[in-house]
Amino acid sequence: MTPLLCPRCGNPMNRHAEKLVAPIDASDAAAVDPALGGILEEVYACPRCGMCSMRRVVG
Amino acid sequence: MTAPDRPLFIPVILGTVRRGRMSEPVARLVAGEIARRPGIETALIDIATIPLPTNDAGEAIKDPTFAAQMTRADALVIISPEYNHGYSGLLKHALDSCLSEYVHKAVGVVGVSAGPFGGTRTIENLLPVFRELGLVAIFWDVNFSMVQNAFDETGVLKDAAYLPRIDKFLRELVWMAKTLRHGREHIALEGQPT
Repeated sequence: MTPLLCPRCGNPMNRHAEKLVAPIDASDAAAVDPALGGILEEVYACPRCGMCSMRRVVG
Repeated sequence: MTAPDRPLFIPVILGTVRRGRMSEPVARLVAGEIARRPGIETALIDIATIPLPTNDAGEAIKDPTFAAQMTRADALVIISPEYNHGYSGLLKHALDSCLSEYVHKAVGVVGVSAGPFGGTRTIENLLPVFRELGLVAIFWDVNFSMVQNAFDETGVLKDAAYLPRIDKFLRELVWMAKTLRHGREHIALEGQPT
């Protein structure tokens, strides 16, 4: 996946965590990683402005 | 690019909506103690003022103002009274409305009770919730036992012994907030993005 740019200031963000989240509805079910038992999301923070963001790992 | 001079933001969350709540003077006291510290900004967030519906839950009901405050926060102080040995349901409802905003941020709890145990049970009950939200709990707490005796009728603290306890609590919280901010913003998770 491409590096994530801060949605607020455009600075490259730092990927500091991964979080496994539970599916909420049927549309989420396809995103579940069967090996992990949930949906994997990456957690980012911006070194310039402190903005935080998550994005779903696809594939 | 980095911004090392950005002040820490440590809001205080008043975790009850009950009328006559004695946690409110506690929250005001702690927020005042945070505000006295250089390089730290704070805000008192009253969950009673967050417009969250109760016919849904989780991030689907995220309030933009509360979410922005959680995004800006480097650490949280939660003022949690103990109701029937647990925390307020509406506190959990508010906390559950965010997720990415909390990950790798510090949290400390001030327990409040009318009885002798100072909210220790509500604090213990909150710890697994924090873990799932990605918050990092410090090992100092503040416990207000018999809170109805701790303040006068105008909300002024009567027992000065609480002040050094709050100081120790905040020192630990600030250290953890600085450390985690550095980690969030500058230390990458090992391995390539998947």
